[in-house]
This record gives sequence, C-alpha cells and structure tokens, in this order.
Amino acid sequence: MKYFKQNRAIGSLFALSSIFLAVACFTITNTFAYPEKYAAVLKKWDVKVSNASASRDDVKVNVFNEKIDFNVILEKSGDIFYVNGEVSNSGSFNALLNNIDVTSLNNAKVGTSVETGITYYLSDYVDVFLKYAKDNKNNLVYEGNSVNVGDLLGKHTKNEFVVSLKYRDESSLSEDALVVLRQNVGVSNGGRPLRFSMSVGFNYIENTK
Amino acid sequence: MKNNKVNLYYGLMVVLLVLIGISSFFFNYFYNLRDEDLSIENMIINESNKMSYNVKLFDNEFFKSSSEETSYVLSLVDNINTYFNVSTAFSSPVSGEYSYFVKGYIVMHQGDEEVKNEIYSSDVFKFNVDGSVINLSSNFDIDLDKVYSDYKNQINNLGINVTSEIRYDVTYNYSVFSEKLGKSLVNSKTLNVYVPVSDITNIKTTEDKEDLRHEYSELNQDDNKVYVIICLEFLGAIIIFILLIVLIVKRINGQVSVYQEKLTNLLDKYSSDLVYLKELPDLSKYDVIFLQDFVDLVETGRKLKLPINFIEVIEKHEATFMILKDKQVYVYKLNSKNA
Repeated sequence: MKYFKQNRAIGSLFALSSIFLAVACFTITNTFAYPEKYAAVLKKWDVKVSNASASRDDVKVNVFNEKIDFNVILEKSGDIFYVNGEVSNSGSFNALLNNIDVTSLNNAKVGTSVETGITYYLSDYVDVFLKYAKDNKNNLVYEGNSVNVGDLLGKHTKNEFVVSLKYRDESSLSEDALVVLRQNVGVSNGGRPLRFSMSVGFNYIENTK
Repeated sequence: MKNNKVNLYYGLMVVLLVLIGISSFFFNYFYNLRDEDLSIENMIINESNKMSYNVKLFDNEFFKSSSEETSYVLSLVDNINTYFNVSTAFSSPVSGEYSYFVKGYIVMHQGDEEVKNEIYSSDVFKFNVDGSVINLSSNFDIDLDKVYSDYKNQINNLGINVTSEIRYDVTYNYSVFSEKLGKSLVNSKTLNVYVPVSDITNIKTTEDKEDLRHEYSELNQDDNKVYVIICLEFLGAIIIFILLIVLIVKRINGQVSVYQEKLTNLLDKYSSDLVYLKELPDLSKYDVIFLQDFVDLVETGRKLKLPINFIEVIEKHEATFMILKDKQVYVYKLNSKNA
C-alpha cells in the first residue's frame, strides 16, 4: 500500500512537472515563434522619371526625380514640340498618381488687345497634352490615353509618356488674338516663335487599395 | 542480474537530472532576459531627400537649371524656383500625418554669431498617411527681386559690414503610429537653399541623401510579465523534479532497508538451519518448487532433515533459500519486492 501511494505520488509529480514544462514551451513558442516580428525587410520607394528627351536636339530636358524641366521653342503656328520620357517604379510599393504639376500657361502673358482690352496668355496660343506614349508613336497630340490623376504604376513597371505642345493654327485663332500675337511676338524664320520654360512634375503616392 | 525496477528508477533519475539541467538553463536565460532593457529590431525606415532649383532671369523666357554650368548676375535674376522631394518608406504600415512648411531668412554672420531675420513664411501644409510610404514633392519660388530689396534695407540699417546670405528652409515632419511596434514614430528634417548675395552663382542646396533607420519595439510591462511567467514555470518544474528525485531515492533506499532487515532477522533466527553457499548451484536438472513463506521452507527442511541452502544472489536486493532433495528443489526467494 505504501509503495502504491509512492507510485501515485511519483506519477502525479511527473505529470505536474510535464505540464509546467509544456506550458513554458508553449509560452516561449507563442512569444517568439513569429519570425516577421523580428526580421524587418528593407522596402523602398523609388518612383522617378528617366530617359527624357525633346523633339528638338538643341533642347535639353532636365530630369529631377519625378519632375522634368525643359525650355520650349515653337517656331510657327501649327508646330508641335514634344518631350518623351518614362516614369518607372523600381521600388517595393505599387504607386498611384496623386497629382500632376504642369506649368500653367494661363499666367504667361503675351499681350493685351488695344481694341478689345482682352489680355492674351500663352494658353490662348498653345495647347498642352500629357499622354501615355507606349502605343502611340504617330500622332502624339490627338491619339493615346491622357495621363490622369489616379493612374496606377505597379512596382517594377514603367510607363512611357509624352508631353506635347502644339502652337495653334492661325485659322483657329480669333482676329483679335492674331493682332496681339503680331504686335507682341517678332518674326523670325518665317514665323512668330514662342519660347518659354515648362516643367511637368508627377507626384505618386503609395497605392494602398 | 539486476532488478529491472531499480534500473528503471536509476534511469528515471538520470532523465530528471537532465531535465533539471535544461530547465535551470532556460530559467537562468529568461531571468536574465527579464532584467535587460531588451529591444527587438522590427522596422527599417528608408528615407531620402532631394532638392534642385531653376533660376529664371528677367527678360528671358527660359530658366537655367541647377544641373547646368551657369553663371548669373544678381540684378538679372527674377526668381529661383526650388523643387524638393522627401520620401519615407516604412517596412510595415503606419498611420498618422506629415507636414511641411517653408521659411526664408536673411542670415547675417558676425564672428561666431548668426542672426536670422525672417523674410518669408509659408503656411503649414498637412497631409495624412495610412500606409507604408510618405512621398512629398513640392516647389516654391524665391522672389529674388523682392528678397534682395529686403536684404539691402536690412543690411543698410545695420550700418556695419557683415557676411550674409539668403536662406530658405523647408521643414518636413512626420508623426505616425506603428501598430506593429506599438509606438509612435516621429521625425523631422530640414532642407536648405543658400543664396549667397555676394556670389549669386554659388547657390547651394542640401545634398541629396538616402539613409536607413532602424526602429525597435521596446519591451513593455506585458513582455516582462511573460518572462516572469516562463521563469516561474521552469522554477516550478525544477522544484517538482527535485521532489521526484527525493521520492525515488527514498523509495529505492526504503526497499533495500526493508529487505535487509528481514534478511538479517531470518539469518539470525534460523542460523542453525542454514548453510551458506558460495555460488548458486545449477538447478536446471531439478524440479523447482517455489514456496510462498520462509516458515514453510523451514518446516520442509526439518521434516526432510535437510539443511536450508542460502545465497544472496544480488547483494542487498535478492536472496535465495533452497532445499535440495533428489530431483526436487524447494525454493524461497526474498527480495526488495516481497520483503
């Protein structure tokens, strides 16, 4: 009887100690078993413009991160000037186009009509287009999809874009606008060249959707 | 041959001793861990900043980019358009807000002293972030014509020669909360544009930079509690293991002592009936008859008028008493089990 009791005691204690050890092991496993809790992976944001070039060889396109700067020369009515480039996402996140910052031609004054008193700006003579160029190499002004806020740029992908500026045909300008143009822009090489600076800045943010 | 059960007990004791060793190691490990100011690397933050500028001249529709080798004449500079980009990528999602503002100063140096007079202050632009990336791109104009006029007034009013410059600071801040780390992350960065009035060609901006920063989750009270619990569990197991060993030792000793006590009694009481053998005889040719009680063996011996042969087969554990009669042998075994 004495030994039977001892056997029971030994068995109970062994079971109890096993439970203690099992709980300790479970606690350790539960606390430390998630490797992602300890190993952070380097992620980076890397959206930038690259390979930008202008339609004129004498114009240099300055690329700075998500922004390009260039000087525009439109020699005569009907001229088209364009800049091609790529916006690439080499980072770890999918990107979404949050904002497009294009130099406004609404503030660049060309002149004021003496007769009507209307002030004409570059925007009255020049149309600006910003489009994807991947499937469009022929008519950059009228074809292709426009680049819009909300467009996606997946990680490890790139989009080709083109910024086109078209000097409006004289036939599409009002007589008053033509008079102002003639009065304020001198003749050179058979046209009335418009020369100005432009910048196009993309602002991409993480696409969290 | 040794008693199997005793062997089992010894084996169990070895296992328990090993378990005590392992438990003691872990107890010590987690006890020390509890006292340390332990941090676990949890997040990598990749931060970069870039800055550039374009100089726009009067009577010239074109600008000159910072990337061009260009010299300027102060009086011909209309404005300096400054562009900056600050991006911060977190290795796991955060939520919170970030902001920036721009301030312009005329900074005058006289000896080691620096005096700043504010000439421009933008609004504070605030944005929300709920993800892993902050990407801030913006630009601002330094109206150099106006700024230079302010500058001349201030320098003239000062009436002494000082070296000076026009400086614009872009201050970027973020304050976000990481659920993974369980804490807030705050950082601030200032980017500058220096326009030295005496040498307008030598405009400087903060250098482009990309760096990595590590953020750690700090152990809180709960984490310490976990370590205490683990320690207590190991301590409990160690105590129970020791109790088990004590119990087993006691049991082994107890069995031996009862056996020895009974054997001594028998040897004393029936010494006249006993013959001590040097070695166990070969009993394979005999019919073995096991007896339950030693008294039966004594009576049998007395009836047959034969001595009882005795030998301790396993010292302190098993003794054999026997009476050899023709082809029969009467045997009584005493061991720690039936003592």
